[in-house]
Amino acid sequence: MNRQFARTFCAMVACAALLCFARPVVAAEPARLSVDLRAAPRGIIQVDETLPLAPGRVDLVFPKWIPGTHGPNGPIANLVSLSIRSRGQAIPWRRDPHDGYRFILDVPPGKTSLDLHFAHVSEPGSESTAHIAVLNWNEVVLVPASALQREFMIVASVRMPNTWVGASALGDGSSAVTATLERLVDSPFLAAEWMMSVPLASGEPSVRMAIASDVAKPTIDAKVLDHFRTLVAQEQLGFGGRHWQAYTFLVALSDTLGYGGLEHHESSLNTVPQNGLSSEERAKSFAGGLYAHEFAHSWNGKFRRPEGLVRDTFSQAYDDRLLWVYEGLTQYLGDVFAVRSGFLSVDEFATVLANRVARLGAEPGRTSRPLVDTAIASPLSYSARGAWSASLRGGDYYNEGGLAWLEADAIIRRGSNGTKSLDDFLSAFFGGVGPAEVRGYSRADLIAALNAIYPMDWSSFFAERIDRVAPAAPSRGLEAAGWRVVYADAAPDVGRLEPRRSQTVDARYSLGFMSDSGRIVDVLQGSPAATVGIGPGRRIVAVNSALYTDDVLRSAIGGSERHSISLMMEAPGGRFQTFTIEYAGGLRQPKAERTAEIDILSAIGKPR
Amino acid sequence: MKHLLVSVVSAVLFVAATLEAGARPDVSADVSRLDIDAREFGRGILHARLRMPVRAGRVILDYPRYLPGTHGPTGPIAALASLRARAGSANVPWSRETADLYRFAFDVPAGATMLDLDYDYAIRPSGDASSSMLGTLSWNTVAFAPQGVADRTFRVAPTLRLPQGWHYASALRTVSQSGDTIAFAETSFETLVDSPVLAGANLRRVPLGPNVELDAAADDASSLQFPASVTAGWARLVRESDALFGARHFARYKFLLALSDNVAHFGLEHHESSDDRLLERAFVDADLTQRVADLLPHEYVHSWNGKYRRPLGIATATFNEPIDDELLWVYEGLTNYYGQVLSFRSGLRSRALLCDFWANQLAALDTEPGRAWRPLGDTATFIAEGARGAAAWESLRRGGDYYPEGSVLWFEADRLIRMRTNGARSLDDMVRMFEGPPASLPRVVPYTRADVVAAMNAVTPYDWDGFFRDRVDRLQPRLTREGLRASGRDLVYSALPSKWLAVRERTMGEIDARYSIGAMVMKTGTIASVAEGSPAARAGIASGSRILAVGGWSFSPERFHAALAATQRTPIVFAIERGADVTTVTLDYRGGEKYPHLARIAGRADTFDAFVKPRSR
Repeated sequence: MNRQFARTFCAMVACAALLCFARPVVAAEPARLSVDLRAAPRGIIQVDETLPLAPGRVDLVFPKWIPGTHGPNGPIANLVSLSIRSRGQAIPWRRDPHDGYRFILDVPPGKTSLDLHFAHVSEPGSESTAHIAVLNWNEVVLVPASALQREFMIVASVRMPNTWVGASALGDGSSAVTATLERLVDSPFLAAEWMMSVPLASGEPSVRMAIASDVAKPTIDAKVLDHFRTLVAQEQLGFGGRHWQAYTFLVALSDTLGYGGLEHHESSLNTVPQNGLSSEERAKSFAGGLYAHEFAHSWNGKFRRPEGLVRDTFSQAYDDRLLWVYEGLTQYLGDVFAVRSGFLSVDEFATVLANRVARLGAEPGRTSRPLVDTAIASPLSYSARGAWSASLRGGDYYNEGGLAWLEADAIIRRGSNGTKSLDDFLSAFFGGVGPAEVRGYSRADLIAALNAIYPMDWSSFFAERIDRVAPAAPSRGLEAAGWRVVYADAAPDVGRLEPRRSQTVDARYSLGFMSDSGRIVDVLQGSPAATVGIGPGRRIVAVNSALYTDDVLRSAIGGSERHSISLMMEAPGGRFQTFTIEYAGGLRQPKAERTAEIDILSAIGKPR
Repeated sequence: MKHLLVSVVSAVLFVAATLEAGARPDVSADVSRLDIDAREFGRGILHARLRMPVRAGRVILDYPRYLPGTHGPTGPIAALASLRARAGSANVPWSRETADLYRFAFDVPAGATMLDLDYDYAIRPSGDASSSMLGTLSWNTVAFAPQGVADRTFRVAPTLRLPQGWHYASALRTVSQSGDTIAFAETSFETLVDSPVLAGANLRRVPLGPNVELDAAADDASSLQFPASVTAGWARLVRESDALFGARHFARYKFLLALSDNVAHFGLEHHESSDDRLLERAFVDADLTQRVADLLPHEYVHSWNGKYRRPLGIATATFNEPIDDELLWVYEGLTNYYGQVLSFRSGLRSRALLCDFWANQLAALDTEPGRAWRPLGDTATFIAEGARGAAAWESLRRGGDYYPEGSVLWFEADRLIRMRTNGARSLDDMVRMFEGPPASLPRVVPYTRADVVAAMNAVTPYDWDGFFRDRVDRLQPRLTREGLRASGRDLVYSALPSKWLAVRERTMGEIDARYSIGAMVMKTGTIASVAEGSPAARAGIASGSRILAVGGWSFSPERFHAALAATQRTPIVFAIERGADVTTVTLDYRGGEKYPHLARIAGRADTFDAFVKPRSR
C-alpha cells in the first residue's frame, strides 16, 4: 500500500516536472556519451556527449544525490572545461544561482541536438593511479532536468589507454553499450593495465570477480576465492533468490586508492590494499564489512529500498531515516554471511560484535542523540570522524542498527525454538528470482513483514531502539544470542578483523581515549583523561618519564602497581604540559564470553 | 521586501508572548539567554546553554547555515554534539527535519514557558578555532534561532565563561564581569553572530586611532612584539581608509587577531570587527608580514563594502535563507582591490614588491586554462565546497577567481576613469559616493548590479554595463590588458627573479615554475599542481607525485632552480616517485626560468602606480 503510494507520488512529481519544463525530452533518440580515460592516470577524464533536444530553454543537470552515498555527493566541483555547441555554434550557459548542479541555456531555433564537451578531474591517487582507473558514470554525465533515470537512454562508450582492459556489469568496454541513465550510473567501469577475471559460480547465473591491480600478478590465495564462491551461494540461499541476471565483484588492489566500497545492483566496487586477497587472514578484515556487505546490498538497498531513497532523478533529495535498515541490516548480514562462507569463525564474529557493543556503549553521544538522527543526518557523518567522534556518534546507524537486527534474529530464533529465524523474514521481504528492479518500502511494510514471520510488538521494539535516546549499551542482541561482553587486560585482537586501523592503543575503557602512535584520536567526555583536561589532537611524549611507545603506554595502564599515570603531552601548536591521572583499573579490553545458555550465534553462523 | 515582511510577523509573535524573566536581572522577558562555558576552549570543546522563552506546542529552531562572509551553507552543523532539551524539569525530545539537517523540532509540553537547550560544539584539534592558548568564539557555532524570525528581531543576552586567567576582546559591549564570566549587553541575533570574541592567555591591545583598535592573541607572548613599522602601518591604514571613504558606518572597530600555527588561517569580516587568524609569527617575521599584508586592509574595507553596502541576494533576513552570490565580484572583488591598494597606501606592503606582486596576479590569471570555459561570473555564482584550495586542478577549475580577477577588473575600471577624466577622478570617487557619507551606525543598504552601474556612470559616463558584461558574464580566454598598457606597462616574462615569488617561496615553501614547465613544486619536491597543456603535463607528470632527483642528483630547491635555468642548454630530467613506481622523465622545455614582470612600454608615460598614492596627510 505504501509502496503504491510512493509510486503514485513519484508519478505526480514526474508530471509536475514535465509541466514545469513544458517540453518533454524526445526520448526516441538516445543520448551519446564518449568517455576518454587515456589521461585518467593523471587524474583527468575527457567527455563528449550529444543530447537530442528541441529548440528553446533547457536546463541541464549534473547528478547530485548519488545512490549508496546517501547524500548530495555528486562531485560538481570536479566538472571543468564545459563547452556546449550545437552544430558548431557555441551556446552560452549560466548556472542556476541557487543550484550549482544546474546549467541553464537555450537551444537555438532549427537545432535538434547539443554537443557537450567537459572533463572530470580528481586528485591523482583518489580515483585513479598510474595503473588503475575507476569510472563512475554519474561523474561524467549531464542530462536534461526533465530526464527520468529509468527512461532516459544513453549509448555509452569508453576509450582506455593502450593495452588497458576494462570490466563492468555492462561489459568490458570493447563496444558501446545502451542503457538507461539509472543502469549506467549503477554500473561503474573499472579499467586497468593488469586485470584478471575469476568465475565465482559455474553456469547460470554468471558471477565473477574482476580483479585490477597496481602490481602485475598480485598474490591471490585460492582459498579466499573459495570463500567467495561459498559466499555467492550462501547469500542467494539466505535471501531466497536473487534480483540480478549476473553479478560482478569489481575489486581494485591498490595501496594508493583509499579503502572503500560502493554497492550496485549487479556489481559492487571494492577497493582494498594491494594484499587484500593475498591470504585468508588478510581477507578477514574485508569479508564482513565489504565483500559480503556490498553483495548483500544487491538485495537490501538496491532491490528493496526505503521509499525515501527511491527517486526519479538524481536531483531529488533523499530522506535517509531508514538507513538503520538499509545499512544496519546489511552490516549485520555482511558478518553473518562472512561466517557462513568460512571467512570468519563464530568466535571472531563474537569478537567483532562484542567490540561494537562496547564501543557504542562507551559513547557519551548516545545519552542525548537517538539512533534515528544519525540516519537522518547521514550526510554529516563523514565529518564526524576522529576528534570528538564518541560525542558526535556520526555513522552509528551501521553498527547499532546491525545490533538491533541481531537482537531481532535472536528473539525470533528463541521464541520459535529454532524453527524460525531472520532468514525467513529475508526470504519473505527480499526473496524470489527476478530482474534488477527497485521496490520501495516503508517502516510499516517492514514491521508487517516481521509480524508475518513472528508476531510481536515490533513497532515498539524499533521505537525503543531507534527513535528514543537509549543511553545503555546496546548489548541485548548479543545477550539474547548467548554471549556477553566482559573486560580483561588481554582480549582477542579485533584490529585484524577490521579494515581500517584508527588507533594503535585503545584505552577508551580505561583512561578514556584512543590513540594512534601516541596521538590522541578521541577522548570520551567524563572519562579520567577528560577530567584532567586531555583533549584530542595532543601527542603523548612520555609516560611516567619513559619515552613514549605503544607498549610503554599499555603496560603503564595495564600491569602497573601504581595508582597514578603521568603523561607528558604536546598540544597542537607545540605547548608541553604534564597530566597526572589517578587510575588503577587495568587496561580493560572488551571480550566476548559465552553465557551458560544455548549458543544462538553459532546457529546464526551455520551455513545453509 | 521579503525580509521586512518576516520582521513584522515575528515582532508580532514576540510582542504577543508574555514570559517570565530569565535569571539575569538586566534580561527582559522576551529575550533568550545564551551562556557559553568556554573553560575547555584550549581542550577543544565549548559547552552551551540556551534558555529561550516559548509557548507550549511545536517549537522549531534553526542552527545558522548561511554564514555572512563565507558565501555559502557553511554552518558547522556536523560539529554540534550532545543536544538535550528540557522544559522545567521535563525532558523534551527533539527531532531533526529530514529535508533540512539544520532544523530541529521540539514539542514543548503544556504550561511550559521556557525551553532550555544544552549542547556542545566540538572544535577540530587543528586548523579550526582554538589552540591550547587562545580561541575565537563565533556565536553562530553555539546558537539556535527560532525558525522564520528575522535575525535583527530575535534578542539574545549572552554570557561567556573563559578559562582561568584568559583575556578577551569583542565588539560586543560588556555589561559586567565577575571572575572569568563576562555578561555582554543584550543584542540582536544578527549583531551577536556578527561579533565574535577573541580570547587567550596572551592578549595585547594596540590602539590604532579614534575608536579603532587591534586586539591580538598569540600562542607565545613574544609573537605580540610587533615592530613599530607594522603598528604604524596599521594606524595609517585607519587614516587612509577614513580619507578614502569619507565616513564610517560603525561606532568603533576592533581587529581581532589570533596568531597561532594551530588555528585555521583566514580573515572574516564583520561590521564592527574582523576575525583574523594568521600564522603565529605573521607580524614579527618580515617576509610573512609582506605576504599577509593585505589581510587586515581587506577585512577593514569589508566593513564598508560587504557589511554596510551588500548585494541584495546576500542581504537576507535569517541565516537559514539561501543566498545568491552572483555579485561577489563586487563584494569580494572590489574589496580585494582596495585591500591591496590600501596595503600599499599604508606602507604595510613594500613598494619594492608592488610591480612583481601585480605582475604575478595578472600572470596567474592570464595563463589559467580554466578561463577558456568559465566566465568570471560563474566563479562567484557557484562556489563549490572543497574546490577552493584544492591545488591539483585549480587552474582548470579557477575557483575563487572573483577575488584576484575582481582586483584586475576594478583596476581596469580605475584606469578608465582616470584616463577619461584626465586624472581628475578615480575609482576612489565612486567608492566614496557608494559607500561613504553620511556616516551611520551599522546598517545594511543593499544594492543591485544596476546600482553599481549607475554609480560608475555618476563618476564618469561610459558603457559600464558593457564593460562588466564583457568581463563578468562572457568568456575571456585571455585577460584584457588595455588598462595596464594605457598606464605605460605590460606583462612580460623573463628569467629575472620575482621579488614577490621569492617571498612566497621563503614563507610557503612553494617554487613557482608555472610559467616555465607548468608546475608548482614544493620545496620537498612534491608537485602541487600541473597545468593542462604545459610541458610537465605533456610529459605525463601527475600532481601529488614527488621529484626524487633532478638531472641525476637528489632533489633540492637550489638544484631545481639551477636545472631549470640551464634548460636552454640541457633538457631537464626528473626521477619521479608515484605510488610504488619510480620513472625518469625528460621535459620538452628549453625556455629557462620564467617569471612575470611589468615592463615599461617605450614612449608611454608610466602612470601604473598612481593608485597607491596615499590620500591622508
